[in-house]
Amino acid sequence: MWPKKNQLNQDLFAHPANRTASVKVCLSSIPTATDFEDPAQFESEGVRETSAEIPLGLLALAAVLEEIGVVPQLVDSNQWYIEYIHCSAARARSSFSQYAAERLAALDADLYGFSTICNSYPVTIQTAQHLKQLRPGAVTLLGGPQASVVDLPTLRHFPFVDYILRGEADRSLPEFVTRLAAGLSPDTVPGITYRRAGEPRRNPDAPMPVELDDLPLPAFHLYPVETPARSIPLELGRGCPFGCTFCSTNDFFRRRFRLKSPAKLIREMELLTDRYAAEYFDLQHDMFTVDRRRVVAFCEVLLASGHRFRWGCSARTDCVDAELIELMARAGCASIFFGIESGSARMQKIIDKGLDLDESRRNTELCTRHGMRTTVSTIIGFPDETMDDVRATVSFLAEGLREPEMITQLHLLAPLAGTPLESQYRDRLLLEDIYTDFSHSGWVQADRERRLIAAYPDVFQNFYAIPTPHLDRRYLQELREFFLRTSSRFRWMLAAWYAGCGDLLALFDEWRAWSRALVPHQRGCDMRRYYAMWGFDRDFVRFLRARPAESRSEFESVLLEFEEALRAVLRVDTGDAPPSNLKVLESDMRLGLNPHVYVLHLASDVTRVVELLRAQQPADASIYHPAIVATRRVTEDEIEVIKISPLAAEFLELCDGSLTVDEVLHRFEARCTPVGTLTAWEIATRALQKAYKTKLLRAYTTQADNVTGGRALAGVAL
Amino acid sequence: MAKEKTGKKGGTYGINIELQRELTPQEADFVEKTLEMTASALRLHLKEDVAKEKPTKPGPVRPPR
Repeated sequence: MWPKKNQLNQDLFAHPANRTASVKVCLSSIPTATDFEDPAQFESEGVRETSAEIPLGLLALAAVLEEIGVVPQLVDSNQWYIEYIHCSAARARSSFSQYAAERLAALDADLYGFSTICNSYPVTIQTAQHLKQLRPGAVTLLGGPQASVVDLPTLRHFPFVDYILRGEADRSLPEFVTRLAAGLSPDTVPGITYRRAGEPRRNPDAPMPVELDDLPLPAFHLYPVETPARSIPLELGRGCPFGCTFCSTNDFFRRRFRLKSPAKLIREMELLTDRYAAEYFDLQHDMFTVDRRRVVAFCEVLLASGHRFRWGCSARTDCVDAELIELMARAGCASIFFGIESGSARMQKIIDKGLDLDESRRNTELCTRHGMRTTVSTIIGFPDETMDDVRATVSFLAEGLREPEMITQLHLLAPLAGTPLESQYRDRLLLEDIYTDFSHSGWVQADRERRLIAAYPDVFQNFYAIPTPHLDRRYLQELREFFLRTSSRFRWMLAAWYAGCGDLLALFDEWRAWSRALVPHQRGCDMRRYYAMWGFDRDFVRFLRARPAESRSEFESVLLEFEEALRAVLRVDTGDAPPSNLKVLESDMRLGLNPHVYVLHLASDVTRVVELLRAQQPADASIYHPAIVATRRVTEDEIEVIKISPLAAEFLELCDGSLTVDEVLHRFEARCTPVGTLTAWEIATRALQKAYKTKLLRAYTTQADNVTGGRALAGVAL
Repeated sequence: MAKEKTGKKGGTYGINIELQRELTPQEADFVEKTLEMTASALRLHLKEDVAKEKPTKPGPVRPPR
């Protein structure tokens, strides 16, 4: 229902010249973090990174509103969720949607706009409902991918949603706000879905912006962008001309491929670098490389500009080639995403993706060889899929494991609203506890959301499943969780297995049979939790050891020795490594190993195994040389294995937190033999320098400071 | 790099991590081999790492290392 004029801000029309400026608009970002309620999950790096993403779409809309004199209030829903999750009183009192609604109401806006996507749509709907109860006079407006395709049922079922602005709203949102400010009904705004006599009606689509260069820079200045900014999203262009049956974004942009001009992009990158010291640009476009000529032009202009921006983009493997990949890498492309979807040639045809998988293998590998972090995303659970197709998909991913820069993703199909697949199976969708990671990444979904989803299948299709007559969906979900964990934690073991027998599903099947009593299968959420936690790592190593020795390949045996050696020393380190950028280490400082630094003496050379697997070479005698390795934390949750010499290991073993710099150097000096002009003292200080610069060591002033450091003092053995 | 007094603390000395005497090629080779600390491609996740994949939309998930 359109609010009466006197229900809006009373001074709205006092100054005609400032009409739009007097409309109080609040735009709320997509709550991507609300999937995660369990603190163990919420604190994970992946969730935190996702939560910290800058809401580009919202800032783009804020910018076009600024052009008409409206400065919207922007709400970072994820930030609010973080505050909510850490406030036990708020959690005890209300759901997040109630909490968010109360805070939104306190902003006292006339118009509340919500960005929507499928997985947070239940939260958005509930927030709008609570908000309407608190602020019945305010207008609630939804936009974005999900509301655009379920506009009619949303308005039919949820009276607290006033309007839906479909598709690209760069032009229609300012028009909507202008009419609102003028006290006019926005029912004539192109692209709007509204109610007349209680029934939802659609206006024709709004004209889409063709010249993206005409759009203003997103309103980054309205958002608390950290400086230096690790990653800033920037729109490269819009529109994918392809018609994959599972994809919803192609229709959102009406399959009209558009790109910003290279000059405009580079100006924006320069500006954002100056303003936020941007280290990396996440250049967003569903399918950047569809027009090779323009990609080449972009890269060449970038190279000619002399800037050394680092950026990432999305592409199709049939829209790149060796020459283009080399050029993109040279122009700063450091990260690339490929939706492969299926490793089965048969499924490629069925889902209208149509990739040549040999070409996909070649080009993804080429990207990694050029140093690009290459994400390969696949989906299982298509209705026509058979186990042979699933096996082919898993094999495709397994081949990528030998490339360290390859990130492999395995998702369960979600029937996204408005896609050809969803339309075809709309009457046969199933609601079960095996919901896809794409729709909900948390371990458990709140009952109130499940009830909402069950009540309105025509709004929340993505939480349902398409029947898979040839596949057991519980098997698929467990396979997905197994692969997610093992490919990050036991990547090289998987690569070794695949190199040996060429069938990763055989490993999963064997594991599944062995672990039947260990894995909680009764509820999907418990199973997902199990695979995400340490207990799985422990059980998986036990499983590998329990297998008959004769069934293990040489690579697997060496990797297993490494895993067991690591498990024997692994502890929970609760703290962060201290700064390791001291220029001078004082002689009375103590030396300890950094968190996650372990020195392992192995009977065989695990790093050589990795080299051979990468090179697709068979095992040889070199893997049986005794080796010493040290582990080192490279990111918050990732460790790297460093091969070290026996002398370097001796040095590290002196650094147990009990000795000072002076004591370590003198003891080590006594073990060193001068070589030529190099004195034993110099060898000792070089060892100190190398170990410190490699971030294996920490130096601290007193024993009391070593609360997070050396192994001797750290946490609980696993 | 020398074992020298820095005067920063009474009776102590400092080891400067940055300032080093330039080694001859033979010395550098010796240090490299006897004090080897070479990163391998073997990396693994150690945390309880849920949601490693971006949950909402595909894309180049993270900036490269």
